[in-house]
Amino acid sequence: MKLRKIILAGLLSIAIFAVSGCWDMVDIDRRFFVGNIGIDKAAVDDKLKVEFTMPIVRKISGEGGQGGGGGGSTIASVSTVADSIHAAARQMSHRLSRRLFFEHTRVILIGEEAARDGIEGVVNFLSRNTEINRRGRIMVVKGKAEDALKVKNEYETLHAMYIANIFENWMFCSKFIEITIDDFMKSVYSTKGNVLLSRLTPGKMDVSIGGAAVIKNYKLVGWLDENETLGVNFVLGKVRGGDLTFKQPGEDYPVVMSIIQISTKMELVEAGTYPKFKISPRIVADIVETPVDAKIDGDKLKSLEKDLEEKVNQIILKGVKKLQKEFQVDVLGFGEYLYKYRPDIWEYYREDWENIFPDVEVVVDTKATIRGIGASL
Amino acid sequence: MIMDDDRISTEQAIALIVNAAVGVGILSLPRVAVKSAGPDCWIVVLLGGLIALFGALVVGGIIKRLEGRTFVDYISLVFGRPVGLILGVVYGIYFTLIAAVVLRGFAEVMKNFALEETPLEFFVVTLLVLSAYLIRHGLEPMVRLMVVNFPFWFIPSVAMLILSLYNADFSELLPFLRTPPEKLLQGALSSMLSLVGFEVLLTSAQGLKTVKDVNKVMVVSMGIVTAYYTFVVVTVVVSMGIAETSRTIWPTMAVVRRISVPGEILERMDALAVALWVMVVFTTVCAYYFAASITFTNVFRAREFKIFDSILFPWIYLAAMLPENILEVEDWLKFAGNFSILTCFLLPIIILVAGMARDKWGRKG
Repeated sequence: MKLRKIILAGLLSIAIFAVSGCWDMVDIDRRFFVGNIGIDKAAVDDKLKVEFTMPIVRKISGEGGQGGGGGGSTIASVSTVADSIHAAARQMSHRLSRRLFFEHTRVILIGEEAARDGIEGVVNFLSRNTEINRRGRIMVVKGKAEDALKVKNEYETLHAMYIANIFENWMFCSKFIEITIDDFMKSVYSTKGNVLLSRLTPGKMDVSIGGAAVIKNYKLVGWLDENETLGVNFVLGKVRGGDLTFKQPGEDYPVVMSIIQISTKMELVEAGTYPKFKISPRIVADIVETPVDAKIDGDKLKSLEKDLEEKVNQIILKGVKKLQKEFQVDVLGFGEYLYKYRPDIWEYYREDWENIFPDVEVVVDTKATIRGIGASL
Repeated sequence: MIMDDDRISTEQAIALIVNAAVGVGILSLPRVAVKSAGPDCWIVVLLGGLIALFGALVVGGIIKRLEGRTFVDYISLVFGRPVGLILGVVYGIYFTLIAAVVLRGFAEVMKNFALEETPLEFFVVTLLVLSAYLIRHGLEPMVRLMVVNFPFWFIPSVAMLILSLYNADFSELLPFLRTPPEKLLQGALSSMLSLVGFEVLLTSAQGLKTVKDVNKVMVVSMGIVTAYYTFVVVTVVVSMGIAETSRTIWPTMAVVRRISVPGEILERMDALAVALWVMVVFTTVCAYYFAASITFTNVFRAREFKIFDSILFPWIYLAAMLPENILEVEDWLKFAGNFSILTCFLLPIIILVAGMARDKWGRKG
């Protein structure tokens, strides 16, 4: 009996090692929750200047009245020059009292210059790292990422939430690229580095997200403006709202239409030396504004629908032409369409697709239906 | 001592095979299938399932001929004692090896997704101790745990993967059937390690109550396993894309990480996935650990199989810790997969044919 008790006691004391703790325990007050990561090209060598911002939890909660109110930002930001993002995070441990923690990272900003040099480093970091939140956002900053992170907005306590939440407005404008880190990784691998990312332009008090950065072979090659981006989104079938404004002949005041619903079909019409594609978006729209004396009846709706179709055709062609002629990069999924649906034809073009794409003929055939006309006749 | 009541029913046998088969493959099979066949990955899995079913029926045929003998005794009867012993040892090593690589794969995932600072050795030892404890009680208690366990990982894992379909792009599975047939076959063979599991029944067959139902056991369990894996591969590929799947070590885990139910009620489900992962791996390790101990017991004609439970413990641990890094683990998995083609298909076919030949002409000649 005695022996059994001794053995039991021994086992129990061994159990202390197994059940009492955890190698990985880091208390919540020993962590910094990084909200934004900004990546810029450093002035020296080929290094990166990496900036992290994190909320100072004590100030946000305003615990005991001693922290908050008084002044100072609720956001801390630190930056360092290093060879890579991970190296930067490690270097920070020389300066920070707590460990950087990426599970809640919302936004990754890449500065223009850094993006022109190439974003392979970012892609690789994201694919190896298992900590970063894959639902976060990634975009390219016109100018320096640093400047975007310096913006002191008045609306939200957390800078990262401010930027990330702008994407929710996608429902209303569709003029930027709605993409998460996850979608980004997916398309960057399947197209070998040709993607569109949103463009962020920092201002004094706020930032504006609109337009797109064209990434070709992991390098930034140029920008699309808001309307061109809208056109691209039409092709990709990714428009969820957003207004279209046009004037009817003889009127001063424009007609404003809001898009409710869209589905886009892509079709190969002809496969000659250069293939010919037909893009046919089906659009349902509401009338939001018209000239005040406009009478809306059957005929008027017909003509408005026709004008809307015309407008959408123009917008699409403009965006597509720019990608074809200026950047010569297929981010619209023409190649992917051929690969998936017409594999035999794709065999024929595949080798030289990069040179064929700029001369691909594109016709657009929009069909628009007006559903709502608001509360006035 | 194998207790008299240590026998399992048909349903329990099905649970044993399914639990043994579904293991490390959940996380890595999509990558393996996509690498060899691209958009035709699901055909690879179905084809692999068919091949595995064939192997399973062969094994079923052997089990029907055992007539109360152990597997090792049966080989000895057919080929003579020395060959029987050698083949017995080969099977013993095979089961030990599978238990070890599965454990190591498990530990690598835990380290990467949950507990980064915890040493690998700790994951291996804790799960191994638990398995050793469980199998000491014999076949029936182990299988009973598997039956209880089954819905607890099966339902949540299916539900979780269905949630991940919210932004699925089924056109990722196009173009259809553009992969040359030999590549499909090659892929089917390389996904074999994920699909096998029926071979544990070879050595546990003395415990089967209704031997005549063994074909039903094989068909049903292989059906469940193949359907489950096809589902996993398809959901992973449609939500992640071909290109990224083939570059991610554990694509299923990456898919689970991206689940986000609108309104952010459920997000970042990797913690739950890791918990399920422990259960799935635990049952696989148990099944193979048990099969290994019982095989060695039969080889040495020991009366007590528990002793081999303890003897194998350090060897499984050492084999699990042998690979230096994840790439070597992958090599080991490949090696184990090729090994399984030998032990699950080639050897059973030879044994079955020889056994049938012996029944027909042996006694006369």
